[in-house]
Amino acid sequence: MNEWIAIGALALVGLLIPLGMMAVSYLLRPSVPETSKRATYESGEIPTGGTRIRFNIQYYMVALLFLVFDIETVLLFPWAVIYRPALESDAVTLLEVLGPMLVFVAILLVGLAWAWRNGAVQWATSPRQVEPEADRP
Amino acid sequence: MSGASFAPVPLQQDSDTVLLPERVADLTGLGELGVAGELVAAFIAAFFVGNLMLAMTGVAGPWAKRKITAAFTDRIAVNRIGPFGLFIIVADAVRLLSKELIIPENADRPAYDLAPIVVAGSAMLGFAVIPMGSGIQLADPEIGLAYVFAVSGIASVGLVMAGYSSSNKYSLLGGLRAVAQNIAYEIPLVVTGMSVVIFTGTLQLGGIVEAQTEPLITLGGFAIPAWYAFINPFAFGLFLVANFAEVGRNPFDTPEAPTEIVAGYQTEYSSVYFVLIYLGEFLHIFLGGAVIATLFLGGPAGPGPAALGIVWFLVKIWAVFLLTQWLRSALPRVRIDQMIEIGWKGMLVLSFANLVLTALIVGMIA
Repeated sequence: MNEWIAIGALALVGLLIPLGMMAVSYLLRPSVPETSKRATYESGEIPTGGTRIRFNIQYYMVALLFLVFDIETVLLFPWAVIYRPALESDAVTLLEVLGPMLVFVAILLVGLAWAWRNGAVQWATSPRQVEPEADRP
Repeated sequence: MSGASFAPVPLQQDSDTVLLPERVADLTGLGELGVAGELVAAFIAAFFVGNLMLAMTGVAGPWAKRKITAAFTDRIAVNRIGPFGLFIIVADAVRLLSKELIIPENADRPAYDLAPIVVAGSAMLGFAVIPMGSGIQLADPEIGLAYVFAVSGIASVGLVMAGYSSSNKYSLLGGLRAVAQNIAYEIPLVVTGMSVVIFTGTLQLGGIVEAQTEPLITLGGFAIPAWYAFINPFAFGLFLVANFAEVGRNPFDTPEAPTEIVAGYQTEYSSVYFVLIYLGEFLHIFLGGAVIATLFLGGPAGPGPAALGIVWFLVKIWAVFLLTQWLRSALPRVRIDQMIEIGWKGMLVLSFANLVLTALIVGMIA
């Protein structure tokens, strides 16, 4: 039996369980529409402005950094799988199988060090936050 | 490579374990009905596994979580309905499902409705390849570990959908924090998991469990198994921490920090949608526990006959759950800037150091 059939079956179950719960809830729950019941929650205040607010640039920086490292982990997986069988077969030396990976990781660590130095993994603070307490109005 | 060739690694390792769908097919005679019978058998097996994990979260969410927190804070918690208050699970399920569904105005409708399904459904997917012992394993593909990491990452998409589509400032910030945290700790998690793969030489979870069955050393007639938590405790610690951040539990619960952003991405969710997101989170904690148990704690291994495997497996994932609740009571939350710095400056560097050191040590031994 193909194993991916079972995985697909679990995906189907994982879809049917939420849908089933939604169906049960649809039958059970009341609907009492009232004015401003659906207003956006802002701690009980009248909501101000839109939601598409400006947010910290940091989220964008770490996402970029993540792309680099995520692709790296994908490339490291095949290496990790063959590493021990390759060594135990005595057909290759340790340097041959470990060396290229060390170079690969080293290049990425240089990249991380560069990003670190440029503040990509340092939480960006606004100028107002950096000011000392006494200078604030 | 110097022209010399080594024996190719078999992609599909031969294994005599019978997977759950095949067992169901044999027991019910569905296997003789051809492809349709196999599909039905696979569905029955998947339904069993899905509901087993659903039952776990049902016990954990409304009951165990309250009882554990109460024990830590010297209170009693739920004790009115049924023995030990256990029937609160039924009462809470009915209560939550029969709540009115309030959808905020300005919500992006398709995304707002799909997010809970994505969060809950994706958390279920990972359990397909986990060997739970006693022959309960849906599938054992050769890319098992990569599959688990891949599908557990889908939840981030659901969290961003929830955060963005709610049209609420708290939700947006919570969604952004959730994804920033998930991606920051995903790399240490995967790289640390990879250091186990270096030992086993396979991504197949059945193979990883099998590699941990040999006794490591025998102390006074008591054999300590070769679990990777004992062989490489450093990796075990790193994986635990990265896992807590990945499932967003204390001390890394910045995405839903109640004192800062109300409830993060789930602020605007009510009724069944809230249940589904909550369910997805608990499923994720248990999936994290299952991966920890499989990679580092010998999976379903334990004293006694092999038929007890499922019991030991459940004990291990509940131990991880208990640890998350313990940390919830014992540790303060890290700030968002600390969270980013711990992830990118600390965990990432340490996980690569662990990977290179493991590779060196395995290279010396092999």
